Amino acid sequence: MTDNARLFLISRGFELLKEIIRAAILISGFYFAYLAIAELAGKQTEALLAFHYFISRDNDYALPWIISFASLLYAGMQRRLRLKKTQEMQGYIQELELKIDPNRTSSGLTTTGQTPAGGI
Amino acid sequence: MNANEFVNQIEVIASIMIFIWFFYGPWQSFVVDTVRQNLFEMRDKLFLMAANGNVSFESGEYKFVREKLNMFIRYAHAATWTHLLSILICDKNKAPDSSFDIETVTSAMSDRILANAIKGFYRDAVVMIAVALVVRSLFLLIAMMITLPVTLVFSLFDAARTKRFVSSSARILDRDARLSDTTRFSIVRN
Repeated sequence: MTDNARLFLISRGFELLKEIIRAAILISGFYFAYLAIAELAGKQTEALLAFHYFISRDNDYALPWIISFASLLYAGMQRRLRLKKTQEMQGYIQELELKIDPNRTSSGLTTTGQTPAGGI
Repeated sequence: MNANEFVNQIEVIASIMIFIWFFYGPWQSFVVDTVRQNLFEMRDKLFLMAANGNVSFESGEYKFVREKLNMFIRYAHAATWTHLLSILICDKNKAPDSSFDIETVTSAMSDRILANAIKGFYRDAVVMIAVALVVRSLFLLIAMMITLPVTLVFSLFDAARTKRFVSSSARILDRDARLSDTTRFSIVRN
């Protein structure tokens, strides 16, 4: 086996291990949620629970969740804007730099500054 | 279990799951993008230095540092502790290649101010990659929080060993980035 193939196998093995741990955490989360729902099943409807959650002062009227989701949405929109701006600006930068240094080397990233699909 | 307990339980589970999603999703992209932006800024500064005539575009030093910065820009998304560990396991018996050493490249330069500036670009790039490597891993982040006070005290008392540790860490990171570059080409593009 060549060095590169060995390295590829080992690093992919570690990546797989990380994915397994991540999946185990998510599956445990769903499992515990299922247990909680199963225990309350038939005693109260989900719609009523959600309604109570949003009007309950104990739960701060769900404000922390609402603010968190609004922030995530805002961050997502800002990111899209930034990528769009990057795409627009990089063309000019590349053009100007090539005029000064015709042998200019590239980073190999996409025009939005991200890793190309399938690696660099 | 009453309704309140149920809500609390679901809230905790949802919080943990959203945190995991956030950490391994948007947070990873944010860190990689931040590192790349800083590296691009450094590359721009280097370009301006050459455009102002401080260093030639055709000089070996300029090409070396520009390629190093490009290499770290490409490597930023692959800089994880598991990747580094894989390199350490596979590459432990190989002697370091001095042609890739920044000290070797800059030692021949007559302009010491310029040499230090170029070394500074390289050092900052390595530090940025190292910081990204830590903040992208929950395991390393927690380990760093626990060990940081001890490490700081230790670095104050044993500066020589700390310097050796920092330079050998930089060498390992550089080697990982370099091998990742060629590995990707040989595996993905073949």
